[in-house]
Amino acid sequence: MNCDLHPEAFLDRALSGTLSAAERQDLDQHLATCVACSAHVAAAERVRQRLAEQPWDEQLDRKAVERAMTVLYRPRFAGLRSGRGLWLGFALTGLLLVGGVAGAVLWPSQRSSIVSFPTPPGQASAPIPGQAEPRLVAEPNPLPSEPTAQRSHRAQPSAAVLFAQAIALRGEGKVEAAIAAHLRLQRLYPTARETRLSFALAGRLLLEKGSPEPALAQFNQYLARPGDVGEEALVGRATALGRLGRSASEAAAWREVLERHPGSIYAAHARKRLATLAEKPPSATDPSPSR
Amino acid sequence: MSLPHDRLSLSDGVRNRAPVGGEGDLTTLAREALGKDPEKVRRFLDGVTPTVRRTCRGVMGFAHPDLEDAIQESLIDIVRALPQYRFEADVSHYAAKIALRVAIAERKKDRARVESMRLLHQTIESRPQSLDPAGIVADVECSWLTRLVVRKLKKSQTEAVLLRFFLGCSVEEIASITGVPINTAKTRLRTGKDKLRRCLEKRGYSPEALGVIR
Repeated sequence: MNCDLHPEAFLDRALSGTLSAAERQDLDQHLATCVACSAHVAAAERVRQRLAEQPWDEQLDRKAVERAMTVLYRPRFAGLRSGRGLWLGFALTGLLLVGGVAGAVLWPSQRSSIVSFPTPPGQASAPIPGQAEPRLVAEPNPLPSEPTAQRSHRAQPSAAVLFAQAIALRGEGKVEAAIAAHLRLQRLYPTARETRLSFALAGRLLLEKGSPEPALAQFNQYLARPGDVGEEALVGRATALGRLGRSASEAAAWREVLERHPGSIYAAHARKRLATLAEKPPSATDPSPSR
Repeated sequence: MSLPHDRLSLSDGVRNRAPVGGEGDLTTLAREALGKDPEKVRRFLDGVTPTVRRTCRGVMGFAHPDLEDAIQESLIDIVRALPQYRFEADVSHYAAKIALRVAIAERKKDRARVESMRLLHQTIESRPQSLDPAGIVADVECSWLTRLVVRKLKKSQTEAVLLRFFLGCSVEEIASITGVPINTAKTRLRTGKDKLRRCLEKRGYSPEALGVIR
């Protein structure tokens, strides 16, 4: 296969499950060298979830059609078609023009009066209740500073911002910085919803970086919380256990993947790993098949 | 390498499907909608909306805050452009072409961090019970790649690559949707992938990092 060309036909057949063994070997060789086709395969694996029908789709469609119909069949300038409407339009425009001119003429004189009002020395400029302080008067000295902790809390980015930063850093290929952002999010906002997702994402990044032990801790944190159990996190945990050489725990983790997500795209890989593990003697370093 | 066996097609379940409460295929409905009778236009829109939604969602992600607006805008554009449509290509492909352009324009307006933030707020805050966390992760992961494609590739290459990667279209479907010969679609896809490959390599991505976890 020419590696300069992208094997679209092979990719199509691979995605429909009709690729022969020899063709698969050729395709795997190409995928090992072509990051664009790897991205294609990675996207194809996730696109199923992205395009899956959602419970709110019917309502979304209906609403979009209704809104489109409203725009398409809205009478244009309905009020202005009649002579009365036209006069009303002219009157409103005239009023706006007069208002604008009056504002431009009066504003500078009013501004100068505000600025020229001196505050008696030694007297605090108390605002009149119910009236906003004029902004152009020089700001008084700031009040004694508020507690530092309160100020630092105010300057802290929110959980959503930190999560978005981590995603953006990952997108830029800065894996270590992305991991640091995830860890910061987890430290600052341990109960936020973003943090739960952060455990799964940080786990994957740590696996990519070749640190299975902290990755396992992240996946376990994700799976320990109540809620839906993510397929990706289960697979990540099994992979991390495999890299740590904990065969019995890895087998249990792969079995859990198959139990919870029998139709998973990782099912074939899980079965393959289970078959391989069954052939190997149990590892002495794995005390118990647990998390 | 494990690959999903259910290849997605943009027009699956849409082509030649009669909308609820009506008879006839999309082509007939489109011809009837030319008369601008509101009821007929509505029936045509009912039939074409799933394709439009899938296209917009494929490009923008399923919880993008402007998804609804993009679908609505696409539907309006489709009806307004109907008199120029020559009924040569599949109606669902014609609708997908317009929706694709609207969705790409929406993605171009986005700023990376702001968008991710809004996406997460929308997803996590408004639909916490019905959305699988793995789905959110997948959506966010797809998002950076879509953004890279939209920002770095030429318009024609962007269309080809997005249709291929995020809507599961074959080369023939890309040709039909974008209204070009098959060889042109192939060239656009190849040059788009070449450029994407250079962009990804420049950012330090490897095939291992992008594949499934192994």
